[in-house]
Amino acid sequence: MDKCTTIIVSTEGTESLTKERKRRSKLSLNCNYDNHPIKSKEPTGQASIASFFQKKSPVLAALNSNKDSSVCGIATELNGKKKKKHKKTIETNVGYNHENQLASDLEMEEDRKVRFSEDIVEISPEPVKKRQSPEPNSVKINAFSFMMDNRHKSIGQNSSGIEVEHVEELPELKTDMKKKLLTRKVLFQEWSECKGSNKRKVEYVEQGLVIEEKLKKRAKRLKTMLNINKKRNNDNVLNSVKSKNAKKLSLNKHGETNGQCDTGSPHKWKMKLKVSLDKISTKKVDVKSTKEQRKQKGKEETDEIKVTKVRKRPAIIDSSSDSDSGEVLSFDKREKPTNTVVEKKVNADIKIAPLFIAAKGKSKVDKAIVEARKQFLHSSLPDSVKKVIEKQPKLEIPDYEVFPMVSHIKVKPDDSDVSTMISMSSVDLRLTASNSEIPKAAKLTRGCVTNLNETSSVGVDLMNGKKIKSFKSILQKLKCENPDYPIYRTFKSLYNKSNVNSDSLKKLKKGGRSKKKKNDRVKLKNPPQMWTEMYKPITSEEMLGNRLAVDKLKTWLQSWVEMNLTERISERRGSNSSSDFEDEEDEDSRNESSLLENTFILVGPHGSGKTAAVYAVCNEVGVNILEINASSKRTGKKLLLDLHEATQSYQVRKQAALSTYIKSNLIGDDLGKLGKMCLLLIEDVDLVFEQDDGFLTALSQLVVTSKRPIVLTTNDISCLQVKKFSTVSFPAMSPRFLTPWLQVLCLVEGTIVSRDSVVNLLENYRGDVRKTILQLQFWVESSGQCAIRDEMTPHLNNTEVILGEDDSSNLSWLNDDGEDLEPVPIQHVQFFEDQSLVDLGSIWWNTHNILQIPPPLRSIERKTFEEIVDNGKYDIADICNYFETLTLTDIVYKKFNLNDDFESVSKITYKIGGDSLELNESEEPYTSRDICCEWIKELCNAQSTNTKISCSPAEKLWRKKFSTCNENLLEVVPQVNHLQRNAISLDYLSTLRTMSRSEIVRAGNKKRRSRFYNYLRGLGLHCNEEHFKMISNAFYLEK
Amino acid sequence: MSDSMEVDDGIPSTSKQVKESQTHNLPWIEKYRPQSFEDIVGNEDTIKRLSIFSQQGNVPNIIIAGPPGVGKTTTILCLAKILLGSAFKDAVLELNASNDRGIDVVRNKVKMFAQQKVTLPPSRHKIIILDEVDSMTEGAQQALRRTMEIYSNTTRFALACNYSEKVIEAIQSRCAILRYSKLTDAQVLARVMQICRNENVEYSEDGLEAIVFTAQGDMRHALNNLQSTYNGFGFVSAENVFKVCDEPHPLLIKDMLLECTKGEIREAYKIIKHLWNLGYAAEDIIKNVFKVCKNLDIDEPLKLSFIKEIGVTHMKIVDGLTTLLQMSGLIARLCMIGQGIEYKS
Repeated sequence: MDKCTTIIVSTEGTESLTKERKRRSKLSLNCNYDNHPIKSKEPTGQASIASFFQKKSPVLAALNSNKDSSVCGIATELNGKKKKKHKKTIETNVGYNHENQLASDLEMEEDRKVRFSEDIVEISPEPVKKRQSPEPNSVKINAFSFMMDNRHKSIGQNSSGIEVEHVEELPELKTDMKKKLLTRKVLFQEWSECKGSNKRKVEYVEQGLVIEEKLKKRAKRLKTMLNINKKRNNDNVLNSVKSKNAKKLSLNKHGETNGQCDTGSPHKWKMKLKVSLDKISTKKVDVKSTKEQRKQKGKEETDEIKVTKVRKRPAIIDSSSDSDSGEVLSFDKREKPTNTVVEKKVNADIKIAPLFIAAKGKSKVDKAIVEARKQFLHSSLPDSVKKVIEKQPKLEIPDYEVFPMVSHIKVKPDDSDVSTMISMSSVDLRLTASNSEIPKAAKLTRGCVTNLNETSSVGVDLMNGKKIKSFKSILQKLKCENPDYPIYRTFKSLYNKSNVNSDSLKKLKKGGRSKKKKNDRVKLKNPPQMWTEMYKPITSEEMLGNRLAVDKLKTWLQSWVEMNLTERISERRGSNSSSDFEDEEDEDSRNESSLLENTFILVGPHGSGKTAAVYAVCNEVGVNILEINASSKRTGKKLLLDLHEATQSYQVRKQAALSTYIKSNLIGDDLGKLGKMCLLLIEDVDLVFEQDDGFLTALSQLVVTSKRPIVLTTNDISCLQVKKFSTVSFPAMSPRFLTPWLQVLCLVEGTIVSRDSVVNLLENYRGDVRKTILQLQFWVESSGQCAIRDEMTPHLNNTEVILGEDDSSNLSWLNDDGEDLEPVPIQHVQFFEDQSLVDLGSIWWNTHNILQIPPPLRSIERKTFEEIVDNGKYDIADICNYFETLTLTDIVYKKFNLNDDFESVSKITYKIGGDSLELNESEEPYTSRDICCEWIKELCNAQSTNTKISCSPAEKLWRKKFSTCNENLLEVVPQVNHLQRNAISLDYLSTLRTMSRSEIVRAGNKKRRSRFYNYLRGLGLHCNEEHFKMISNAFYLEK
Repeated sequence: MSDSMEVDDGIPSTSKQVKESQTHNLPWIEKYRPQSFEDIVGNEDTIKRLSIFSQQGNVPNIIIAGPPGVGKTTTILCLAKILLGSAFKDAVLELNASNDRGIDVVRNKVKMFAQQKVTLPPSRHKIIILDEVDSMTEGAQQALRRTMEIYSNTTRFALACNYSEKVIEAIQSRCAILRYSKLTDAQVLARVMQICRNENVEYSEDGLEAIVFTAQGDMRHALNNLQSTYNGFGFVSAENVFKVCDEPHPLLIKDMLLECTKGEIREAYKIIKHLWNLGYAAEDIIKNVFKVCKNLDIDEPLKLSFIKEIGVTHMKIVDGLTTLLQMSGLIARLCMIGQGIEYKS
């Protein structure tokens, strides 16, 4: 059995060698394949070969068939059939041209026919015998199928179906096919002769030579590459392991059996060398080498082959028995899928690779010999193959060049160092499919990620307005709450305002103000106005808060009016002619008005009543107002154009009638004849837009030249223009005045509002009266109270007489029937749901609430700290956590500047009580630790009497002021000292305060700037009066 | 015209179809924009008050502030329509962010409109609607302030904004501020279901849940998502919704958080890594983590400390540290909290 197989293999080996010599690796290739695909399923070995051929690419098949056809006569029936099949494929896939060429090719090699036939005869029994060796079969089938799969992939033809068909048809069609094949063959030969196959033959040979050389180069390159790749990929290709093993097995067998033939190998090497030399010489011959030359060479080669035939075979087997051979083969298989061209080359290398690997592996083999052998083996590619190679790219992938002509990689081909140089430690990177482990999101269910389950019941409970019957008692109550405040007077005036008929309004206000109040709807008792309009102050008396500022403004205006008046009177007495009126006046006025400041600046936050004050005072004194505000374009040019005349002449507008207010004035009589003076009110001086260029220069020009009083209002004190003029500040009003006033206001409107609500509101809006009033209006009116108000008015109308009579602060003016002592239903309007953020500033004040400190246990005098901790649910960790949260929010607030007037925890200061003379009297900024300590102290002492500590709004304001003041001062203090709190609070701050206080004192005495100011400025502290005041009043808590 | 009529006559249910075809192209947020106060969802208290105003007139200047999609503009339009009725066209000036609202416009157009005389019933005023006031430049707002006061007898302002603090104080001082809060999930759900019924949208429970989750109290968002999901897939299921609005899946995050409560950092990390690999931005993830954590069914103190950590991480991310490391750190800290381990920062 063994013998049998070895013989067959040996014939195959020789066959392949001879073919190689003749550059006909084609058939050798086939034979190569013949080694693997032995199928036990097929009825005969020939059938297996046929089917195998069938599977091959059409072109390959065509070649095979052609060769076979040339041997046709001698070939067996099976062969014929096979051939026929292939011809079919040729017809379909390649076309006649190709066929002809091939046919002519075949003709050219007529002389080898005999040997071919022998070969085939030899082959034919082979598979049958091979089939009998069952051991490697299963493995081989796998390897084969793998290879075939790869082939199909690379060639892109799925021939498996054909194969099946073929297998089925095989027995029936045998005879038919044979006949057909024979006829075909004859036809082919005729065709080829007709078409001048001889001429073509020569051309093809020439082309073949060129291609051959190219191929040789490529083969070399590929070889080197393969060498490298092989080493790298030794371990990688697991798929080919099976085939490798199979190969090894079979080859090893040969090696064992033919071991004795090794003795002949040296001789063979010599022979080979000769051949290679021969070849080199032929290579040097011009490309024009003729067919004869080639044939000659071929003959030479064949002769040599005949000699070496027997000897060479064992050598090859020997080398292939080396363990490396398997690797090469496996590598081979991997390469196949890339391209058919590659495949062929690699196939050619199958023969080569074992050779030079063997050479490398065995040092005893001469390097030169190995080299020569390699060269020789590579050089040989049969013409037909070359042509196929030439044509295949055209057919399938024409523009694809597998091996670049220029190689950028230069590697020593046969160096033992190469392996060490190139071999890289293989990094074992496992691909982890992490995604698969991610749990797929389960199904959403209701309430899964939302709070849908919470059924929110937002109940709208609007206040059910109750009829207010007893104003008196309510007012009484209010009076009790605010004993200092003239509740009744306020009520009266507000009530008057709210009830003023449009008639009386018209009558009352015919001055400048009445223009704004367009009381068109005479019928309406209460013209729909915003409360800010309705209840705005008409006289300076009604101004809320900022009394000093208003008074100052008033006196200033009055002095202007008086001056104006005296001028007029004197002028009128002096000359009656109006023509020279102005000329004379100019000089006088200049002299006089220079005595008075003509510009007054009101500074204050919005809603503090600046504009209202101006209007109220002007109304009282009797001055017209020309208002310039930001809602109109005010370029410098326009300003000058519009106002220059107004500021230069005294008489801006003559009013026919005078308001009743002015009539009541002493000067009213004279003024009435002369017309009202005019005042220029320029609002929001600090607002200068890009389009208002020249506004400020125009303004300063106006101020310099004006003979009229000018009032500017601004929010921003830092505005440059402001500093030149005397300013009157309108700070935000304190809730002290406002709260009762607003309560009365609401009462007038028919709603009773609790003090707390108003205070909250005011606090929220930081003393902005206007906003508070508007908000109140919104809430009061929207609660459906207006209807009630209408009902209640008649009731009040009865009291009107009394209202007129009495303005003293007692109850007599109100309708006292004596009955209305019924308990007053106090209604509390919830103004807002607190949707804003938690006011962190008040955290300090509500620590008890936060910590839920239980009401003080007086019986327990003093608890130790531990006891508290043990007893209460508040342990230190809680407090610490609270504090951490506090500091965190503090940081967040500071970082993002969420709220300017947020009283951050770190700003909260506390006073250490003690004697005023003691040195340790100081106030220090809180740190987180301090607050914690405080809390713990509180806990320990359990002294808290109130459940809720809250600072009064005034105190809050003061705190804010104080902290800003301190911040201002701290800017001056070198930063090194910032951490020394004692130094800061005892030395720096107090000294600075003293300086500013003395500055105030000195400023009061004299007009000139004192040196203290210079000191401060020297320090880098740019203060103006406002700052000084603030600093010096730092400790003054308004109460 | 006549042709179309004929064609219409040929088909029995023509009028309905025509109507449908007219409304078909409308986005649902427009189609279902409430026309009366009763239809407006959420903030019932404020809306009730405004509806009283709509009956008696004399509305003060108002600013409505609130997050997007809660019905600010709708409220104002409702109010104006009810107050002015047929005179709506003449007596309302609406300017939104798409209009030019520079200083010039405020000084000319707005002022001119305020000065115009329009005959209106008593206690009705012209209304100037300024949508998205917070996007007006400060200059324009400043130029507006005195106009608001001087013409208050004839003209009232209704402003809408997202952030009231972006409106200058001077304007705020002249207005009553109404704050709208986000709609509750139940409110959004109710409305969405109503629209689903009207539009014959097929939906599944989880789909609506997903819509409500992605909306986060923003009705406009909810309706847009609903419509796009419906148009895209024809069926509103959670899967489709999350396809439409590509967010880190809340259930994954929920799983992650639950793993954190158990202290299983590996599992939690796997999820966060997965989300990260999906390409979500750190901010997206942290936002959704917060959203989910908000409604997570765990102990209150635990949830609070979770939220605290999430907040801290969010701050870092806003500061620019948008790395996976931060997210991993968050996970780690959450796990520590979940296991009850104290850590020192």
